[in-house]
Amino acid sequence: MAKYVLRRILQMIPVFLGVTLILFALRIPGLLPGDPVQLIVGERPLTPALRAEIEAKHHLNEPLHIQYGYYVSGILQGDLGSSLQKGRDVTDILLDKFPNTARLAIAAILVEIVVGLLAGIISAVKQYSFWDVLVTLSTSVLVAVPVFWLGMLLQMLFGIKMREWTGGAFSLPMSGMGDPPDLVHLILPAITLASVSTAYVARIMRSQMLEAMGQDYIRTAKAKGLSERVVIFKHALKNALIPVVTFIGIDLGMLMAGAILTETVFSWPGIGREIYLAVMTRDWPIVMGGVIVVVLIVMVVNLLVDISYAILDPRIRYGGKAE
Amino acid sequence: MSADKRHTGAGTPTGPMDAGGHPVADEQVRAVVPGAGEMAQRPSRTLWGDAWMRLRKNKLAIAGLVWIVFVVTLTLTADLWVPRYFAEPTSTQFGSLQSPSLEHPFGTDRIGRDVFSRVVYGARVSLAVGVLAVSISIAIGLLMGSLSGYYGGILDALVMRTADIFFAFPYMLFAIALLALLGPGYQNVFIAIGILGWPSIARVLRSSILSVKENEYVDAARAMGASDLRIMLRHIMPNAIAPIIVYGTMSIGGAIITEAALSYLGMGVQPPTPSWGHMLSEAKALMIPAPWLTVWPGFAILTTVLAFVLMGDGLRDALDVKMKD
Repeated sequence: MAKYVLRRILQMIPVFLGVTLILFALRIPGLLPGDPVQLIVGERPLTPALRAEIEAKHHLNEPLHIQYGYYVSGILQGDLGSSLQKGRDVTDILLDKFPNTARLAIAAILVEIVVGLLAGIISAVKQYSFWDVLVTLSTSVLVAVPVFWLGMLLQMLFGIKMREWTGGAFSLPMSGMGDPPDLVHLILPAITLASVSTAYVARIMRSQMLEAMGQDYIRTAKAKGLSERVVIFKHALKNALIPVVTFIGIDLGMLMAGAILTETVFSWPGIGREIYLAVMTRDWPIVMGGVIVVVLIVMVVNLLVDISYAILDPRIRYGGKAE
Repeated sequence: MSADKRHTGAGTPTGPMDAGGHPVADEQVRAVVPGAGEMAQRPSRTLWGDAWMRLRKNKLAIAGLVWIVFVVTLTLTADLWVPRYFAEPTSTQFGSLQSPSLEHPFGTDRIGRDVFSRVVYGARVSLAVGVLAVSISIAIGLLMGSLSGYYGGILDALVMRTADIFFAFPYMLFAIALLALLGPGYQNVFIAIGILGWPSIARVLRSSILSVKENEYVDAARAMGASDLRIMLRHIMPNAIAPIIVYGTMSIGGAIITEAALSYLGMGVQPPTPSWGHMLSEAKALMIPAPWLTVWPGFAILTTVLAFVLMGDGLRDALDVKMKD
């Protein structure tokens, strides 16, 4: 087990170095428009003295590979520079926002699990029924819906129209987390964020379930006279779940990394919206630091997911794959 | 120039796909299938002909195709009829926020522009970005995928590890970071989306090359002294290209959504050029007085993307491509 974990961590190192290398390359003068010193001072006037000071402070006058070394060691020590506008450390700003992003991510994952699994199971068990057609159609459509538009439609329907219809008695909140944060504010953003993945979960669940239901051991179980319910839930579901859980695990990593569109539509104060606002205000340290943090979150969550599989399924430890 | 043209271009001259169309295949069929005498008289069809036969039976895929053709025709001919019967997409001469009427089927926006003509012209941007972005992805992906699939070894490891690095970034975030540096605008949008798309194409192509490469006709070609380039272009590529067509079609839908999202965030196509995503960001503050501003551009995105997805699904079944869901 320890060997597997070690191997998995070692595999992460080249990817991490590659990611930092790409982000570092984006700042090399001449490769892309923009002067790194100007990026650091932002809109302030740039005097030669200030330029020299900044070049010395950020090691910009050293050779590129030395600069890269400073850059990576800074990241490893949790130093992502400081915000141009807010005068705070980027690390602190992102740490502040992370719990909000995690809150939304967990809510969305719950929607995915409950709605996605149920829809997939029902449509597989009642294949070709009305429900199956409904699930198949709505999952195809959901995959093509732009997330931010879905968010806007939900706001319009449950935030605005609902209030008109009920004479102001009932509506769902359309933005922010509430003060203090409450569960009602989570409903619309969580549904929006979960929408596309829920469709995928339902699709994968359906196809896996259909495959499992065709297996010999299911026929045996039925032949033994077990009830339909026991066969479906104890025998078929258990095996059909593995790929679904893999998908949900990977998705959790992506959601934890912040959802720029959903967070922007619902003014949800998470990492995604912070990065978006930073792009708009040209606060580059937050943008670049945010990207690094997000990539690290995705990598770490994927690592944890993989490790938990290896604990559950010994085959993976010995070079097999989760699927 | 478009992805589709490239595909048919790659497919047509190669003819039958079964190991270069040797008569062997027909003899096998006759031996195995009873009543194959009739089949022998059937005009011989290429893989592409077969695929078209199967595609035609798929109602959803045909619906998608019809919608794509409809939208493309609408946009290409827009200059002929939109200004005559409706309004220039950038003209602001109408009353602000009029609800839909005969004169303005989708209403007008905050500064009095006709929403219908903006939606029609918006399709131009979306389709162009979609096709151009996917063409870039396919061009890079074909090069990288064939290098890594055909030569293997260190080259393969290098390309695939680079692809891993690209996959480590959440897609939207990478696009935003790239655009933050490149600056907003129509060109940068399709360049950014195109650059981000190549690793998937390269992976798909690599795995199909790996399976095609093992065929005997490739060994035969090599034994006859064919050059790597010739083997690649004449023998491997035509047989490995089907998954790229499927994936490319679906990717156009993905690129259209991404463009809309980027324009919604203000990093994509810039006003006054009509773009569905940007129209939605203008609609955000006007949901109560003017819901039509939110409904129509979004509906246009949804139907167009859906058309490409359905078309891609249909092509996958018709070309019998196996893909991970």
